[in-house]
Amino acid sequence: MKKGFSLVEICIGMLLLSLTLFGFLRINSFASHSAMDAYYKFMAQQLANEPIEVFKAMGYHRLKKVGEKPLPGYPIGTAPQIQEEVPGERYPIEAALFSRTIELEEIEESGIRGFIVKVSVFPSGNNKISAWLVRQMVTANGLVMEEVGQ
Amino acid sequence: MKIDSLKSQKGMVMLVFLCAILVLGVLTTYFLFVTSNAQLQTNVLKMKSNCQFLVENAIEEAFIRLSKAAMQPGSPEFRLFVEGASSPVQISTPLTAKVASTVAPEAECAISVSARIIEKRKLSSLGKEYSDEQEGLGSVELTAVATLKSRMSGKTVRRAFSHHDFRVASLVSQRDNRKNRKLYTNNFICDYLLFIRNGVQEFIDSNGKLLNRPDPIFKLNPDLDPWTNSKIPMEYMGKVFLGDRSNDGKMKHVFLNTSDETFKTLVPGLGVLRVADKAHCLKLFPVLEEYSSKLDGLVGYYMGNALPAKGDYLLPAAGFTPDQIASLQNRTRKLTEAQFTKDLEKNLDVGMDIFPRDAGRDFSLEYAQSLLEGDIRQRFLFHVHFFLDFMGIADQEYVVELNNETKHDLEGHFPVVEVKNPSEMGDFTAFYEEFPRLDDEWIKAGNYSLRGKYEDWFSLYHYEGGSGLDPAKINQLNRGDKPDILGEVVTPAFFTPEHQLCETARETLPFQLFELYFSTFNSPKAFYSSPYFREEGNELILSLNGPVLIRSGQQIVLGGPEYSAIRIEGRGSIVAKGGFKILSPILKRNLSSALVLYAIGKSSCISLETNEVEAGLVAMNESLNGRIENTQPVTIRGFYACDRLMQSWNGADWPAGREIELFYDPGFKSPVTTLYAVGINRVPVLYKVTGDDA
Repeated sequence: MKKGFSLVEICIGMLLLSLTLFGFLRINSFASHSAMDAYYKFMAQQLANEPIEVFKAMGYHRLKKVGEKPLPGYPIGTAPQIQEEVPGERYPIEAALFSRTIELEEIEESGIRGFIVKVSVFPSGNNKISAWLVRQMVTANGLVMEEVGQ
Repeated sequence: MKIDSLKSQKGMVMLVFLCAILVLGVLTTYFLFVTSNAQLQTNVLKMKSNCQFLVENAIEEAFIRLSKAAMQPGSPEFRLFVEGASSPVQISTPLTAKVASTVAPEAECAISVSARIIEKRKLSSLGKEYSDEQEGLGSVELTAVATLKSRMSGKTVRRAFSHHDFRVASLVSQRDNRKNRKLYTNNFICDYLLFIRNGVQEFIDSNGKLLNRPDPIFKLNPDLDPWTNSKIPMEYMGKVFLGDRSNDGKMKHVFLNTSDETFKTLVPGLGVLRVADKAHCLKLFPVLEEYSSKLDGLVGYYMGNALPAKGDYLLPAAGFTPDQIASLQNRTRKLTEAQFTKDLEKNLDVGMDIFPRDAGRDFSLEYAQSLLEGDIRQRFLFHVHFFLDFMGIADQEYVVELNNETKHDLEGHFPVVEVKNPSEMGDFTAFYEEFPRLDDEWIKAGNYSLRGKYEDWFSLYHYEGGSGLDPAKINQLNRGDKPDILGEVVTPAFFTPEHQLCETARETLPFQLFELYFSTFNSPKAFYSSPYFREEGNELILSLNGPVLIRSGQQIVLGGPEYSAIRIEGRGSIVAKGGFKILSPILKRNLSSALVLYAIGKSSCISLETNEVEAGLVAMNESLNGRIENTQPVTIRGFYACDRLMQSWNGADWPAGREIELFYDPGFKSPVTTLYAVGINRVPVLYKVTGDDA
């Protein structure tokens, strides 16, 4: 009677092992992807919130004239890549891999005027961020209201 | 061989293999857990961020809506502040609700905001009382709660609290001109038709020409309602204040000439009449004693008249012949010139006349006190005429003889008048009215010389008042060796700084208590583009409620050639540090509309390049040089308040063609109610956000 493993047993073992390891690898890959997605989503969210905070600080009347007198770094309607003169000074280096669109919608409700600020942040072309982000676009909406006196 | 050796250790290999698989499995699971957690945290952070964003927006919108609603008298929010009620008021935030659906479309959202008064103080920080129960300083708390519920991120709640100081102040106050205010009132300037804060110094600088000039600067109508053309009762008419002291504090009064008609209303002592019986006449004229038995029916009359310094006015003019009037006026002028030798008093022209609707009526103390504030003096001569009436003597032939005998002896006699109060005239009014007829009879009887002989006594009196005097009392005026003619001289009402009623004091500016809580604009441009302005046809509509402050030192330009008028809606004031330029007529939409333009900067100036303004104008600052300039004649229906009329006189006169006609707008003074404005400070004194997550 033969003792030890037959070739078939070894093959089956190898198959099981490879399947298990493949599963682990997949899970690992998914987790890595998820971690990177969370990281870049968070970064994109911060980049999307930024113009809203800036516009709120400027106030309604300045925003109303932003068409005639654009704010450097916060163009309305276009989707430029986020760039800065000294990379890494205001944003993380990787922020340069994102593009940002800012849209304004004027609204009025019960005598109070305001702007809804819609900001969309998405990867600039095919780059590593586009590979990691699950949803290719992160959006944020803000509200800038006209105060009684400004 | 190997297989055989493995065969012997098969159990151990299996164990190692399984352990490796287990370790890998645990590590992978842990990694998966960590990364999933990171994802979840990212989502939760986003949810929290959204929730915080919503609650902050909600409280911001609620503050804007509360501030706006509090400007509307009668709204629940307005009453909340004025009445200081502790029960909360709910505030809807539709804009935030609208945005919430786009911010977190996957979540259920609920937002609520309320406001409540947490404190209302009746004393200022300096411990001063406010002018009434409704005025005061306090704190309002806004509470906003935002809740987001989602399957992915659970429930997130954020609460925001914001405390703001507020002030309730009166825009239009109850006021009875006949009584002093008991407490400082923020809008005191609205009580006046004309208010020249540094008027005494400017009077000195201009050598008296500020108020007395051949070409009048002002025509004042303090009690003629320009909208209804009816009379404004003395309780509510516009007051006149022309300064309280010079820069060095030495001079505290001004001299103001008025027209004869106004003079009669404001200066006491006209037409004072007192009868002297036979015994009194004999005492005055002992030469008549020897005829005593034949003088039954002899009566004497003392007639006291105050005459304007210029001497063109005489009462009763109808009782004198033209020659007598001319002679009397000539003598008066000579006396005037002799008396008024000082520079400040020698200008005798009527340069700033007041046209009370009751002008020409007899003097009224109440009227004078209701109109004038501060120490405004009127130069006048007090002329006493003694009149012997022989008409009651039976033997008229004897009268002619008597006249011839006595006139020489009586010449130069010095009759004394003891009249204390014009009201003592009483029954003699009838005689007074009959005077011309009697005079005619005397002339017919050839006795016309009598009156010409016994009338000459003039003396100079000032209409005096001043600081330190109780405004409700009368100032006794003694002339040393001369007897008191009037005995009593009226003192105009005057507020003294000591009582914190410093409405006329130079240290206090109006509307100052609002300063923290104005609706503020950093530039004129921001103000022009605010919702306060809109266009209707070729009119510019300015709709205000409460005070607005423009911080910039740039001038505010209102109107222009493209507008036929600036139409005022609501009630409010615009306070500008850079002053104003008015290019179009300012007109009220309706009687309840009211606008005050207040230039408060270092060199405050309101420049009027129009001929019609229906607003109150104030140009005052701490340097006491605020001015209002007009390039053409202008009619102002409102009021006029400044520090000075001209920057510098330097011998120059008020330019020709710049007359100002002033009508008081009775809308600036309420007989029955006080109108308030609520100002809320934009800067919170407390702001915090808390939250619960589940």
